[in-house]
Amino acid sequence: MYLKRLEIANLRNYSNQIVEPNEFFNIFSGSNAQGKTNLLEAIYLSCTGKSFRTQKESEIISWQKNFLYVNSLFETNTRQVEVKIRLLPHKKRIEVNGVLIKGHPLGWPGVVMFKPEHLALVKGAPLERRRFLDMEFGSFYPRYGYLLGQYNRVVIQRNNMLKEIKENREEVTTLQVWNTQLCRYGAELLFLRMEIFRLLSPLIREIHHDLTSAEEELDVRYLSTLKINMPASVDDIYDQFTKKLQEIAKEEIKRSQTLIGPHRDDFSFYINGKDAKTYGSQGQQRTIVLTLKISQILQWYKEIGEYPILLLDDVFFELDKNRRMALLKWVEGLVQTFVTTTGEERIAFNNNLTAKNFFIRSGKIADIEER
Amino acid sequence: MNYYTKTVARLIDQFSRLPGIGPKTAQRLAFYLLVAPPEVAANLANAIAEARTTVRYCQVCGNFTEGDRCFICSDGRRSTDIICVVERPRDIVAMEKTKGFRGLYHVLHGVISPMEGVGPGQLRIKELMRRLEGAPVKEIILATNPSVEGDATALYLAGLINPLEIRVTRLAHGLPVGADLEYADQITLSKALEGRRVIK
Repeated sequence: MYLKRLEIANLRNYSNQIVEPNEFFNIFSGSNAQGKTNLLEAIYLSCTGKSFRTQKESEIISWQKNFLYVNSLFETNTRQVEVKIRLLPHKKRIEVNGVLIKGHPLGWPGVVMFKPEHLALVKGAPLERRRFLDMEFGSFYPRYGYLLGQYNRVVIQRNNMLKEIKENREEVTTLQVWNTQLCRYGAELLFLRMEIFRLLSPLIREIHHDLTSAEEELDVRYLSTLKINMPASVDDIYDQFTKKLQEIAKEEIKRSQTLIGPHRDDFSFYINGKDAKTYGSQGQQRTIVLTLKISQILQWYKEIGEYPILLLDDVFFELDKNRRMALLKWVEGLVQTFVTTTGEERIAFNNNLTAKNFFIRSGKIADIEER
Repeated sequence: MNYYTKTVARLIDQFSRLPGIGPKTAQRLAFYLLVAPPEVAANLANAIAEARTTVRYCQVCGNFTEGDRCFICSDGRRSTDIICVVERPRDIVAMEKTKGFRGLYHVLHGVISPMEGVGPGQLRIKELMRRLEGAPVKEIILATNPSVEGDATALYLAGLINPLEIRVTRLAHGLPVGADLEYADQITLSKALEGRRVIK
C-alpha cells in the first residue's frame, strides 16, 4: 500500500499544503522546528485516525484555528482508498470513500512508526515493552485485546480484594473466584504471547543478522513471572498459574497486590548472549528497535497481504551506512518509506534509489528534488 | 447566573438527579409539567410517592412487590424446583418477557466488585442459601451478566451451591438470534464456538 496524495489544512504549523510523495522513498529535510514531523503526524493520522504524539487531539489544530482537515489518497493492491479526516476541538469525522466510519480508516493500522522515544524499548521500564508487545503485536490476534482487557480488570478487582482480606473485611475463600478468572484469562494471554515470540524470534534473528552484516546474533527471550516451562498448553499454564498463586497467597495479601502473571512479565534482548539492557550501546539499541519494526512490517504483510507505510522520525540518517543499506534492502520497492532529517544530505546514500526529497521551511514545502 | 426562579430550579435539579436525564431533558420535563393541566403534575407526584411507600422487596426472592411476596413467588403454577439468579429486578422483566421460564427467581441486588467495596456479604446470598435449605430445588440458573464481575459472582455461587448436589447452570453466551455470522464480532463468535452443542 502507498500514499499517493496528501492534502492538509490547519495542522500545527501548516495552513495549506499538498504533498505528492514518491511510491518508494521520501525525505522530509529541514532545520529544527520547521514541520518535518508534523507531516509524518498527518500521514499517521490518515492511516490510523489518531496522532502518535498526543492524546489531546485538539492540540494538532493550528493555533487560533478551529478545525483541521487531512485528505489522503491511498493505493492498495486491490483498490483506491480516499480518507478524509476532519477534526474540530471536540469532534472527529472520518470518511472513507465517502462513507463515515469509526476506528481504523484502512481497516488495519497500515503504518509502522519509529521515533527516537522508541529507543527506550530496550533499556526502559518493563511497562514500555509490555505496551509495545500488546499494541503492536497483540493486534494480530483478534482475541488478544479482549483477553487483555478482561485480565486487567480482574487484576484491579483482585488487588482490591486482597486489600479487603488484609484488613479483615473479607474472607480468604472469596479470593478463589478471582484466582479462577485471573488464571483463565492470564493463561490464554500468556499462551498468545508465547505464540507471538515463537513466530517472531527466528524472524528477528534473521533481520538483525542482516542489519549487522552477520556480526551480531540477536535473541529475544520472554521472561515470565510464572516461570513455566515451554511449550505448554493453555490448560498447563492454567494449572501451574493456579498452583503458584496458592504458594504466594500470603505474600500477595500482605502487599495487596497480584504479584505474578502476564501483567508483571517482561522480555529481554541478548546480543551475542549478552543482555542488551545492560551492555547494549546506543547504536545497538537503535538497531534492535529497527529489527522489531521490520519484523512488524513483515508480520503485517503475512496477515494482510499488504505492506504498511514506514515512518522513520530522525532515525534513518542516524544509522551507519551499512545499516542504512541493509534496511533499504528489506524495504526498497516494497514499503513506502518516509524519513525526516535535519541534514542537507542530497540522497548520497544509494545511487539507484528512487527518492523524493522535500525541503521544509516554516510549515511549507520550499523545494522538491526528485531522482 | 439564575435563569429560573427558585422552585423551578429545584424541580429541574431533582429531575437531573435521575439516571439517563441530563440538564436539558430535566429542563424540558420541568417546563412541560408547568404548562400541562395541574392534574398531570399531581398524578405524577402521587404516583411517585405511592410507589415509593408501598413497593418493597419480596421477602422470598428480592423482586419488587407491594405485599410480602411478589406475584411470581405467590403464583402457584410456577415450578419451585428451579431458581434463576439475577443481578437486578429489571433482569427478571427481561427473563419474563421470554415467557420461556416458568421457575422462580432470586435477585442479588448487585455483583461482587471489590473495586466498589461490594463483597458477597453485601449481596442477597445468605437469603438464597436459606431458600435452598429444605426446599426441593433441583437446578440453579446463574444469569448474572457475562462481565468479569458477573462471572466472579457466578463462580462464587457455584462454589457454594455445588456441594449441595443441586445442578448449577450458567446462561450460554454467543450469537444473537437472527444474526448473521458475517457480522458477528470475533469475541462473540469465539464464545459461541466454546459453547457449541451437539445436534441430534
